Amino acid sequence: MDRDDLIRRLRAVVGNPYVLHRPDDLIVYEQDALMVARHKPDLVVLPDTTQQVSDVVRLAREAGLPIVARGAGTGLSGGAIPEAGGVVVALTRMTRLVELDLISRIAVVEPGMVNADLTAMLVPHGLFYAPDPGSQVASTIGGNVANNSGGPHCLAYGVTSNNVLGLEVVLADGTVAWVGGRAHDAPGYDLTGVLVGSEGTFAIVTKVVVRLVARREAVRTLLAIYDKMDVACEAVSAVIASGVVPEALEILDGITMRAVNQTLHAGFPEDAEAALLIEVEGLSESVPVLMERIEGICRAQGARRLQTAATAEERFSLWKGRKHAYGALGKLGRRAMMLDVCAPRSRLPEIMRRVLEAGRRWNIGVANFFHAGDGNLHPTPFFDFGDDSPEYARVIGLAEDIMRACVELGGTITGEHGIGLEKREYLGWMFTDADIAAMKQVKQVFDPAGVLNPDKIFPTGRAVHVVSRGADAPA
Amino acid sequence: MREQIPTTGAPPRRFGLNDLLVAELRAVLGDRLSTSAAVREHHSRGESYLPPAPPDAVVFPESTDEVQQIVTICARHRAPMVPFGAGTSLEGHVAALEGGVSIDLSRMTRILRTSPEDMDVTVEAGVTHRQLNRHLRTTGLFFSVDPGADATIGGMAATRASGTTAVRYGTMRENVLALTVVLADGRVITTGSRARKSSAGYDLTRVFVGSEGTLGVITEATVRLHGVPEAASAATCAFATIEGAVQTVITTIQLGIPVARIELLDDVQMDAVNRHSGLDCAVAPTLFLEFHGASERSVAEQAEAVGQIAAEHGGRDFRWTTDADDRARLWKARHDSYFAVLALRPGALAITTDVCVPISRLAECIIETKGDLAASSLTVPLIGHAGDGNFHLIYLIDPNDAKEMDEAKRLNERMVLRALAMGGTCTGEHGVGYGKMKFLEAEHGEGLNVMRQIKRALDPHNLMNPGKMVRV
Amino acid sequence: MATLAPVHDPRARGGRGLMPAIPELEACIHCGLCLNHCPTYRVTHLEAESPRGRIYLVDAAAQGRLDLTKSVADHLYLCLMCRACETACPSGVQYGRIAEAAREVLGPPGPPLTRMMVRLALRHLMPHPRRLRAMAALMRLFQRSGLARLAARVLPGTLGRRLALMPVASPRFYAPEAEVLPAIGERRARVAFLTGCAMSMFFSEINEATVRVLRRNGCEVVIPSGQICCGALNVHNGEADSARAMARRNIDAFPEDVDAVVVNAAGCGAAMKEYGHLLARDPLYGSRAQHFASRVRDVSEFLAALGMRTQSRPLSQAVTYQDPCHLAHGQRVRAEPRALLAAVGVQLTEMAGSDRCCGSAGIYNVLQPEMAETLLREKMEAIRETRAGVVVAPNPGCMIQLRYGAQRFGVPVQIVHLLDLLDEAGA
Repeated sequence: MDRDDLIRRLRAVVGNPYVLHRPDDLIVYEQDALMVARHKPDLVVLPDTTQQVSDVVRLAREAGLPIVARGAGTGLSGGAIPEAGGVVVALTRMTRLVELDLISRIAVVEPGMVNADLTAMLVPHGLFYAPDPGSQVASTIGGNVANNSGGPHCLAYGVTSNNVLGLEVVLADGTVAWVGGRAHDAPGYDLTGVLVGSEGTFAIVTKVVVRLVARREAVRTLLAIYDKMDVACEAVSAVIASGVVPEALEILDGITMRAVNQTLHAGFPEDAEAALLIEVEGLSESVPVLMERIEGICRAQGARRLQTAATAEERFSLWKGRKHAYGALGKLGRRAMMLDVCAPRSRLPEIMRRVLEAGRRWNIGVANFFHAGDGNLHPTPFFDFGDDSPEYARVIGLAEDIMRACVELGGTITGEHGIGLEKREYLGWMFTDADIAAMKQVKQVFDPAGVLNPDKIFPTGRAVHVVSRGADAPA
Repeated sequence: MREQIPTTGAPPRRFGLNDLLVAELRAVLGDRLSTSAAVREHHSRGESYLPPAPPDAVVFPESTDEVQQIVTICARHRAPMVPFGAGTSLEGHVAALEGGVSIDLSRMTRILRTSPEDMDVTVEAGVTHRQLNRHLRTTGLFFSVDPGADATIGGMAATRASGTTAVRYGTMRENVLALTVVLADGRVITTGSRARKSSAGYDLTRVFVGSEGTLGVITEATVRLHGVPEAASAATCAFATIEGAVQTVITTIQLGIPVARIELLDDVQMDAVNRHSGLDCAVAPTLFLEFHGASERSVAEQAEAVGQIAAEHGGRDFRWTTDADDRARLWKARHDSYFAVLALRPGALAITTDVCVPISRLAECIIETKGDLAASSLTVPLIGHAGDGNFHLIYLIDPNDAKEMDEAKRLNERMVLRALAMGGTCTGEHGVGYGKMKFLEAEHGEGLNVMRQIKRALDPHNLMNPGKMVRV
Repeated sequence: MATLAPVHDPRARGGRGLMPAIPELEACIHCGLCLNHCPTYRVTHLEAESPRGRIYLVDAAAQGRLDLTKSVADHLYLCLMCRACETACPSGVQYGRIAEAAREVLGPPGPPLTRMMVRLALRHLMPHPRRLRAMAALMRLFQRSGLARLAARVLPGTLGRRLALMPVASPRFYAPEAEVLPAIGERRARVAFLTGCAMSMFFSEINEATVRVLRRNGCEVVIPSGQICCGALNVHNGEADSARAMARRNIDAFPEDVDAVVVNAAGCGAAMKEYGHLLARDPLYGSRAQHFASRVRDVSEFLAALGMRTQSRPLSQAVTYQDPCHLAHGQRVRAEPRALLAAVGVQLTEMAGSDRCCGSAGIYNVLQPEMAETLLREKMEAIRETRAGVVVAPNPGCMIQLRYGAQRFGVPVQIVHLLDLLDEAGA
């Protein structure tokens, strides 16, 4: 089948406007939020139903082209970059709420539904969808499933895989299959569990059954301001050790807060080295008591000042400020590379010390904003030189030092962003050859021909392609 | 009366023990291998009603390394292997349908690493959950999954066990962080990590949790711990109707009240308890609740809130307390329920069933099921983990009366199909084993094919607990 | 410091021209948080119709990786220039400047005939108040004589419909009584007033109301006769050079000795606040433009800061507020209009997505009728859900579009300007 033939047949499935083939239409799909690699797809298709997805997959297979599913393209590890070309299947048109069971607190949604839109729809019903990654105003549920996305409120409610009960997927040969269901635990192998976080390499998700959480009666949000980062980290341990499990427990460093302050009045201080952002929820009488206890702990651990959000707007501003952290770094440097390491929480002060040391050693500014309660850090180096500069090796050195430190302390090289292509060469730092072989066996089951999102997750022996701002990417 | 073993049509193969295999295993295990009839009989069954099927030999390894050697040897001889924990499974999980070697992990009882600060612990597969909680007594932490039996962590991981605290603390699905597994060819892999969140590679922990021994032998597990609550309160309430009780549960959860346990006992069960324990409870659907919190005020607030909800739904005589002794008294009926049931008909075989439906259909499912039961001659009490939409019926049948067995099976099948039709599942927590394979097939269409392919990929010779879960 | 590559002749590379590598492009780090805030992305779900995608196209062109073909121009011109993305962007990317720079290279939108007509209108009509007045007179004639009604019945489909709902020209093109109008009562400030093209043609009574309210609040109002169109449409439609000329005229025409240059049209206010950027490379006017721009205020900003003398006149009907894009996103003015409404006793029912574009967007609704119609339908639904009887929309383009929408989609609602209510309340 030649290209024109394929285009014609794809158009018959999804309609003319939704088969993209012109250079300007394709070029905008060559990257997601990872800026150091890019590759144009051969075609981009935007289906609107499960049947269309299935037909598109079959046609792509017939044409011998790889298939890369894409949501909003906000992934930070290059999971949606079509490094081997092929057909990008963008699920952004599939945004329907298919079913809502308020009593069982379950919803069935299409994969292109924007995370924050789902929660917004549930507000009148006193429910919400708990995993709230920083990208939630743009990222889609399908993308969240692919990466097992987290977010600040995962401390209390778990990550995406704890909040997904079932999936409808299109397999590599176009077959449509349901896994899991509406009950909290389905018998048989936990295919839902293994599909979540499979980064588009097992199947294309076309429906998601999500668990919804009831909003608690009362919520309090506290910003505890510290003069030293390691003191703030110790405070985190103290809060958790006291037996309280907050809904969210984040840390922002001074660099981040000052950067955010430049674009947003979030209520962050200008002159602190670190701040804890803590949220507790519960019944209206217990919450203030809980909050007082936390405030006491924070003070005992040396907080310079405590700031409680007095209104819903203030609370919203604090969280908006937190979620703007990555983007705000655009003001500090032309580029930023957000790492995503996760270590056992008890090692938090130690890992932070090593992060700051690494920054000093490689002489690169590093901003930190992270899910301290989970031990999930986002050290984010920011810099002005381009990725074609010899200086860029320093950023890689820094990133490797930090990842290595985390693995040494029993942690992981990626807490929630996924391996994608960004970290595939490092998979061996966490898993033995036997472990990886077992993973490949499971991959073989789902995708024997290796057409779904090839060259992601597993090491290829090739460096991630570094793109320079002036030159063209190789074909 | 022998149960017909579900087959694909071909007669089941039956492994024939050979001396070479025994010799090789003895070289590794010494006298920790047995072929005696008594030991084999003990390893032929769990606690299910399904007929026993003894293995040809039983081995007792004491380390992952030994398990690896055992599996390698058995694989070479194409001997089927059946992992065995405490033998408390309920759907024939440990029956050696094709003979072979039962790998008894109950001697692997070391607790390898406890991290109170990180709230996780790594244990060998033979550690039971009660042993683990005894070990944790001084740490202020506990392992929350509490199935009725004192099962091993390995077995609980293999069956994705649940318990009464699932509504707040989750099942094994949420509480297993990492596993060490010996695969069918003897390779040892580790899945997951100690990090609370990880997106690195595929979540193979998920593949093995709930795989019921069909993909490999779990030898070690890292599990999540929770803080022992500073304060707890307990409550009970009888209701005029099942709907009232279930609606109370629904509203409680919708209001975000973080209830730790909600159990529902029906009138038949309450009657059994009255007789057995000499209590004077209302013979009516009754909820047993437990609340955990960071302060007395918090658990009191939760209990009071639920009291109000219960009153709105026909609840009578709502009682609650924070005192530890009184809590035990309030929950006595629930704690004694299983024995009370057995006492109803001494000598009878107790068959416990297990389905789960979305909570919006729970009342309907229970009522229709009880409608079926009312028309039958059997006395069948009901206990449910109402917060999860999961409930159990306990059939007491005369083991020598085939008609009663058939009746129980017929009623059970109707109930399972009813649950499936309501968007539910054929097993809330007991697993599939081989007793429920046909329901698994009814529940999953294409997905089942994928499961079969995974089984074939990881265990191409079908040696790991053959005849269970997925037909190949 | 900007280091710009020279802009070549548009026909030099076979496409529409060469895009310079402007520094604003550096700020985008592709996070994608803008996507779901962009009205055209929400409708199409296509990356190329999102702010990030459009920036990517411009950036690729600036790197020489993409020719500025008609297809690229179509993507860039489907953009409303509402700048909701700027509000959403955590990195502070100045999307408006990027889009304007790209449009400067591309020239006016549309097929060749449209481009020519747009260019004609922008160069030879907008900068000339007398010609605008003449056109207004013609429109009044067309409408009053019944020709408009006839044409609407006879012409087919959309064209006929739009003609039927064409905004009605005011009986009189706005003409102030004098160039300097004294304050009523104690003088608290001296301001200059931009009369605006659309306001003067279609809403001259609102201009009168604005001047009244300013004077009643102690402002001496200067209405320079030498002022002309602010040039917003020119900047947004690839006519940057003529826009610069218009800016220079205005900077000359407005006096320096005023506390503020007050504007009652959001689009014009936003444009004039950016005169500094527009004339940044002008050796003569550069710093004067900065200074001028720093004194521009939307009338709501100005009155809120001054402190309005008012009395409360609660309305019987429910009121909702449409944030004009160039006021909310372009100027970050949201609280002040609401505060003023509250001050005169109006209780607002907020509409969902009040700061989402109604589809007017300058001449966008004429050039991109389908997208404009889709957005308008959604907007009218949002208004319907508030059950409000009155919508306050302080911008002429929005008012025209919403009035059309009310009729088109059968939503019984009155569209008024903020100053209408303030004037009625006797503020």
